[in-house]
Amino acid sequence: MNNVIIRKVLVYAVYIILISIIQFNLSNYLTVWGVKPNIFIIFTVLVAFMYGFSDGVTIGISCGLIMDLYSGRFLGVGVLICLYLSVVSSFLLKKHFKKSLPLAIFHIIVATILYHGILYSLSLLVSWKENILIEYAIWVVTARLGPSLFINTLLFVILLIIMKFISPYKKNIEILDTEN
Amino acid sequence: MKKTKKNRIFIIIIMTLFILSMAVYSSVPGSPLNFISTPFSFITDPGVQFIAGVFKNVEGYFSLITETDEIRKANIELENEVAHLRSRINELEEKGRRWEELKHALSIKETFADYQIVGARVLTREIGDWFDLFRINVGKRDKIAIDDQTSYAVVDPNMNLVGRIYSTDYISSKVMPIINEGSIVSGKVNVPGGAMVRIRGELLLKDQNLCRVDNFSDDALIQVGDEIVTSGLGGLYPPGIPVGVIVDIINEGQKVEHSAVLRVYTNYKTLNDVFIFKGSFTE
Repeated sequence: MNNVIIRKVLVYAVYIILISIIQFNLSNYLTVWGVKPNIFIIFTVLVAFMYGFSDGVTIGISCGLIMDLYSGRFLGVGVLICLYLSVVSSFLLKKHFKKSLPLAIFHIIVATILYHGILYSLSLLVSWKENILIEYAIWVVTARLGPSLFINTLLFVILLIIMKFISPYKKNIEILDTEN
Repeated sequence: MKKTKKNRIFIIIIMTLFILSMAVYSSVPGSPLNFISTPFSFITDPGVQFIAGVFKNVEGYFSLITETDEIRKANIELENEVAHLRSRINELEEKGRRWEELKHALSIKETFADYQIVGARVLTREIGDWFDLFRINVGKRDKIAIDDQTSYAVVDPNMNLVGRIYSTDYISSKVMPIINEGSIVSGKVNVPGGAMVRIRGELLLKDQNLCRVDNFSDDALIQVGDEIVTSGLGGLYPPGIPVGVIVDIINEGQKVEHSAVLRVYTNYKTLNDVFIFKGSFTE
C-alpha cells in the first residue's frame, strides 16, 4: 500500500514540476492565435476525470496554488477555479463511468467554457465600464474561448495519452475513489 | 454512500469559505500570506533559472544555425570579402546595441540620483488573463518589501515603465504590468506644461501592448504621436519615466468623452531584465 502511495506522489510531483516549467517558461511556444493554454487546468481536469474526486481535488488545489503564487493577483482564485473544475470533472466521472475519448473531449470543452466564464466575469468586475458588456462577450468568445478550446483539447488528448502510459497507478490497481 | 456525498459537499463548502477568506486577506498589500511562496521559490527558482538558461542557449544555438545558413547563402551570391565585411558589421551592430543598453542603464542613475536602482531578472512569465503577473528574482532579502503605503516602480533596460511591484516574498517579487486591467498610472504629455492624463490597462487592449488614456480636459492638446511620461503624482512612480506613445484619439458619442490609446514602449514578451526604483520621490 505504501508503495502505491509513494508511486502516486512521485508521479504526480514529476507531472506538476514538468507542467510548471512548460507553463511558466515555455508557454510562449504553445500560443495559438494569441492565447496561451493553461496546462494546470487541463491536468486538473484530466486527473479528476481519470482518477476521481480525491486525486482531482488534491491536484486541483496544488495546481491552483502554484498558479496563484506565481502569477495570480490574489491567493485563492486559481485554487477555487481548480477545485470546482475537479469536483465537476469527478462528478461527471461518477455519473458516466465510461472513459471514452469523445466523453473526454466533451469534458475538456465544458471545463474550458467554465474556466473562461469564471475568469472573465472576474476580469469584467475589475475593469467594469458602461456599454462594454456586448463587445466584451464577443471578444471573449472569439478571441479567447475559440483558440482556447482548440489548444486545450489538443493538449488534453496528448496528456491523456501520456497518462495512459505513465500513470500514477499500476494497471492492476483499482481506483477505489471512483466507485463511491 | 449518502454520507460520503454529504461529507464531500461539507468539505467543499468549508474549503470554499477558507479560500475566500484567504483571497481577501492576501489582497491586502504586504499581506504575510504572500510569504507562503517563499519555500516554493527557494526550491523551484534555481531550477527555473537553470532551465530558462538552458532553453535560452538552445534558442541561441538554433538562431546561430539559421544565421550561419543565411551567411552561407550570402557567400554564394557575394565575394568573400563582402561576406567578411557583413559579418564584421553584424558584430559591430551587436556591440552597439549592448553599448546603448549600458548607456541607458547609466543614464537612469544620472536622471534619478535620489533613487537606488536594483537590477532583477524575470523568473516566470504570465500564463494568461488574470494570471498575468510575472515574477522577478528580488524580494525582501534585497530590501524590497511593500505594504499598503509603499511599492516600487519597475522599468526596463531602456528606462521605459514596466509596472510596479505587486507583492514580495523573501527571495522573489511579483510585478504588475501597466497593461494589466487593474493598473492605473498618472501621466502627462511629455512637453513643457503638457496635459495631465490617467493611464489604465484594459483587457481588450492589452494583447496589442496598448493602454487607455483618459481623464484629460476637453481643451487638452493631445495628438497622435505624443509621448506620455509618468507625472509623479501619487508618489509611486517617479516623474518623467517614458510610458509610451499615443496611437489613437477617440471621441465617444454625443457626450464627447475623450480618451486615447497608448502604445506602451516596453515589450513584455521579450523582457528578461528589469530595474526597480527604490526610494521615494519628494517634490
